[in-house]
Amino acid sequence: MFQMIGLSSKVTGFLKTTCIRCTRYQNYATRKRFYRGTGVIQSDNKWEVTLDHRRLKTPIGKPLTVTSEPLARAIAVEWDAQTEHITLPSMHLTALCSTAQDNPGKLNKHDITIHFLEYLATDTLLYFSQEQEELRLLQEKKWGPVLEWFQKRFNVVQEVSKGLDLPPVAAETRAILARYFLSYDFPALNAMSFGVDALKSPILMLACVERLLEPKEAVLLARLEEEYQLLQWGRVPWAHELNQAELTSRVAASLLVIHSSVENHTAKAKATPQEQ
Amino acid sequence: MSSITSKPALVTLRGILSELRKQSSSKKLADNQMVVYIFNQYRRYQTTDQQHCKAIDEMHFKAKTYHNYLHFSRKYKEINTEFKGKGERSIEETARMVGFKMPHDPKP
Repeated sequence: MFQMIGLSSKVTGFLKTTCIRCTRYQNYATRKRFYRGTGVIQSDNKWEVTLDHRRLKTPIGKPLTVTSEPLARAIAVEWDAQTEHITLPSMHLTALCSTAQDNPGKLNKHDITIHFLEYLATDTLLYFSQEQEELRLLQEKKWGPVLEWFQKRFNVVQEVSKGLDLPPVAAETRAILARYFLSYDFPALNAMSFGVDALKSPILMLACVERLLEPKEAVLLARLEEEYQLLQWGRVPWAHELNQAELTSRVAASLLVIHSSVENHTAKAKATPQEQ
Repeated sequence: MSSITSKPALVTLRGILSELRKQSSSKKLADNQMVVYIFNQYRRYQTTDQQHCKAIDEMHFKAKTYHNYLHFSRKYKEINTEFKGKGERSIEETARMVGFKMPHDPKP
C-alpha cells in the first residue's frame, strides 16, 4: 500500500517535471514580438540588422553580420513581418545567415562539396518512373531539358538510373563539379545545401543557381510525381500546398543568399584591379 | 535587350510591393526601408541590368526570387494557421458536437 503511494507520487512528480519542460519549451518556441521597428546599419562594409536600436544576434550571441546590403534589408523585412509571435522556424534568411556565421556543424567547404557529390548519384532527376508509362513520358518532357542543360553547361555526361541501381558518376564529372562548388564561399555553399535538401536534387539546385529555373519552377519539377498523382487523387491544401509553399520559400531563401554572396565576390574583385 | 522597365519586371515589382504591404508593420509603404531600397535599385537599373558585368536578367531574376520568397513564406504561414490544431476540445464542446447536453444545462 505504502509502496503504491510512493510509486504514484513518483509518477505524478515525473509528470509534473515533464509538464514544466513542455511549457518552457513552448515559451521558448513562441517568443512574443518585443520590438516595434526593424532597420539596418552599416559598419565597415558589413551590414547588421537592428530591432529598435538593438542589434540582432545569432544563437550563440554574436551580432549577426552580413556582407550584402539587400540581404540585410531582407532579414529586417523578415523580422518586421512577424506579428504577435516570432516564428523562427519560418525565417529562413535569418537562419541561413546565422548558421553560416556560427557554423554549429563545424563544417567546411570541402565537407559540403563531398556531400553534394555523393548526393548526385541519388538525384531525383536521375530516377524515371519504371511502372507508369504516362508519368515516365511527363518526366522525360519536363526533366529532359534540365538534364540536357546540365550536361551541356558542365560539359559532362550523366547516365540516368536503371531500376534501383545508383547510376555511375564519372570521376571527371566529380572533378568538374567539385571545382565549381568550391568556387563559392562558405555561406553560399551552406545555403546551397539547404536548397539541395529541399529539392532533393543537386541538379535542380544548380539550374536555379545558374538562373535557368525560378524557385517556383524548380519545386514543381522536384514534386513532379506528387503533382502527377494529385491529378488523379485530388489536392489537399494542408498537405500538398503547405509542402509546396514551404519548399519554394526554402529554395528562394537559399538562392537569395547564394546570389548576394556571388555579387559581393565580383564587386570585391572589381574594386582592386591593380592588386591582382 | 532586357530592361528592368520591361513589363514582366514591373509585374514583379508590383508583386513584391503587394507582399511587402501585407507583411509590413508600418502603415505607410513609403516608410518601409525595403521599399525605398527596391525603388532605388529599379531606378538605377532602369536602362539595363547589364551593368557591372551582370548577366542578362540578373536583377530581374533576383526580384523574382525575392517575390517567390515573400509570397510562399506568407502562404505557408497562412495555411499553417488555418489548419493548425487548437489543442484538446473541452467537455462541453465535445458534448455539443455529438448532440448531448451537460448535466447542469437547462432542460428544454
